[in-house]
Amino acid sequence: MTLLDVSNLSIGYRLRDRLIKAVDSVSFSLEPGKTLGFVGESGSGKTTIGMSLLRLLPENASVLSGSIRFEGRDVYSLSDESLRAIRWKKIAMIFQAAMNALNPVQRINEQVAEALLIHHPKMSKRDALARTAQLFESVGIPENRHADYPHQYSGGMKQRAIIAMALICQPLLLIADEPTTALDVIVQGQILKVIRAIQQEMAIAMIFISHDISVVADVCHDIAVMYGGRIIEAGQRSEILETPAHPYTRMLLASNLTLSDHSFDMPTVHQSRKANIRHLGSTKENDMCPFVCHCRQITDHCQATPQKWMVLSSSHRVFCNNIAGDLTK
Amino acid sequence: MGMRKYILRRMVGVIVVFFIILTALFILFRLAPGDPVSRMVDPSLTPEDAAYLIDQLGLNQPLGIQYIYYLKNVFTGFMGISFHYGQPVTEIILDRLPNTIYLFTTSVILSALLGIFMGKIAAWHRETKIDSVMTIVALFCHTLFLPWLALIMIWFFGYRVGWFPLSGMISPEVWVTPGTSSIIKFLDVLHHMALPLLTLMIIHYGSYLLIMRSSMLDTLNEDYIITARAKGLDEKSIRDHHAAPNAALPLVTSVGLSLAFSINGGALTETVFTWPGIGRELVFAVSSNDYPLAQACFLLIAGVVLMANLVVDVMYAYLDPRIRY
Repeated sequence: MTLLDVSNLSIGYRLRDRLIKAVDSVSFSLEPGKTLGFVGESGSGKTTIGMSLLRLLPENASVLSGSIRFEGRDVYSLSDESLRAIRWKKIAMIFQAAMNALNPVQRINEQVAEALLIHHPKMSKRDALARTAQLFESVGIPENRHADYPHQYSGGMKQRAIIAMALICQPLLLIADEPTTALDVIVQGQILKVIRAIQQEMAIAMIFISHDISVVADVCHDIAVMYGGRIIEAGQRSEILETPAHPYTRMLLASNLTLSDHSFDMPTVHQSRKANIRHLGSTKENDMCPFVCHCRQITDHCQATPQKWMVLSSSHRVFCNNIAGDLTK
Repeated sequence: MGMRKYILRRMVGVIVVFFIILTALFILFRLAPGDPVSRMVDPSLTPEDAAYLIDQLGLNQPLGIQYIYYLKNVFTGFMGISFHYGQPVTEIILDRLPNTIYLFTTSVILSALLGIFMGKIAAWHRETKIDSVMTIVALFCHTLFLPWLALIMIWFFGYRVGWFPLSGMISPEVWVTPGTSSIIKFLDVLHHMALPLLTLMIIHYGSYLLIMRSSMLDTLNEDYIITARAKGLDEKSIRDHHAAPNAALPLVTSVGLSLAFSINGGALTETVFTWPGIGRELVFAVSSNDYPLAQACFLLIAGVVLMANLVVDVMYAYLDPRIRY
């Protein structure tokens, strides 16, 4: 059974008189044990999707249309109580601002154990702490540091503790929102290793959100590329990396320099947010290309007509109608 | 560095500051306009008696020697004899101090608890009617003029409705009756305390409410609150176990210092309610040139405020693990 099925999801933020559509008609699904990576720049709607899965959107955000079904149940029509039962036990999250995600006045192992105790009220605190200690060992936090406070940890250690916290209830789905962004490259490598090992060992489905396509490529089975609130291309990892179809995906991959690459003519994308600001009330579906202002392959046709999904393979689809005959490179 | 070393270091600091205050007080009282000798010695005495008294009081000694005597007296707990009462100053203070502490310490603790609780609720219901009503009432109460409110309270609850006594701390007839149990005596003091206590709470709870509210609003935006929600905690636990303890931290200082200042009482409150405490005594001592009594009161207040500062800092270090000492 499909674990998570998101269809036609649109989310908007109210700002006084305006409605900003942060997520626009996004659909994807996730099978148990699989990893889906969302890649895109700041403001492309990745985090908003992640937060919406747990119904953790800020007060001024609302789901405008579409549905999120987890294990067949619509997350947004759950009662508060059933929602709380799903939170962390079934869907856990590694937050973007992991550095501040821990309560500064509580001991770290107690905060982690708390998650376990919420969902297993009969468990004793001692057992919960013992389970926490076990998990801390496996993510590489030394025993004498388990009962420290958050400020005593380095960034990498906090991230390890947060990963342990996300795993403590053995969730079915883990949402990792930029889990390594605040870390330096070496620690980033270590943390990714921990995440990969756990993912393989526990077979947890994962949604991995990052602006860094190389990190996503490292961890994920499937990749969805986002721009301006939309998924503009989605497919298996090999399809996205080897036969990128959307002009934006290509620019993104080309901007990822390697040492052997001697061309310093790096393509850049200038983002203009105006593209996804719509006036309040106009929630009319708008299927114009979000990338139209910055595309190098733009034609008159792109600006004038709504785009349709092009299906390139059973798993690979692209939201651009200007790629025909251009797939080989 | 350990907590112990931190406390020790802070105590050394407190002692140094206390010495400075001690010296400043000594100098200030000798700088007071007029000849201290003529103020301290009754002009109606014969010159021989006056000379004898001056000799007795050590006022003919050089200032340096006087200072050493002064220090010696402070550290042996002898603060002189009150000009007005003719009793050792320490006895007078020890007699009045508990009365002040009963009333003002209770009022600080109760207003803080009330303010913190209501501030938490107001922040939780931010931008709703509950929040605006609570905030406006708190602001209104906070700006009331204390003596006016005190008189209104006395007029209404003491006179019109007659629920509480008009003034004083005890009803003498209750206390002189032999065989009155201590519970009855306690209730009698409580009965007298109700009005001043209520007045002080109305004036002071608002500031705690406002501090707690804004601190709580900041805390509710923190990422760890989202974490707590994501973990599946119910809203009440998030508010009480994750937000409130963090939000209440900035109040430790203000409550601690208010507690310290509560020992000097409130001259206004104590005067309006004829509460026999330190505040009233201090005003009386200053206005009647009772130097030893005034000096002792000032020293006491300085000492307690210093100690309270120390206690607040230590408490901070204990409550907030991020504080490095």
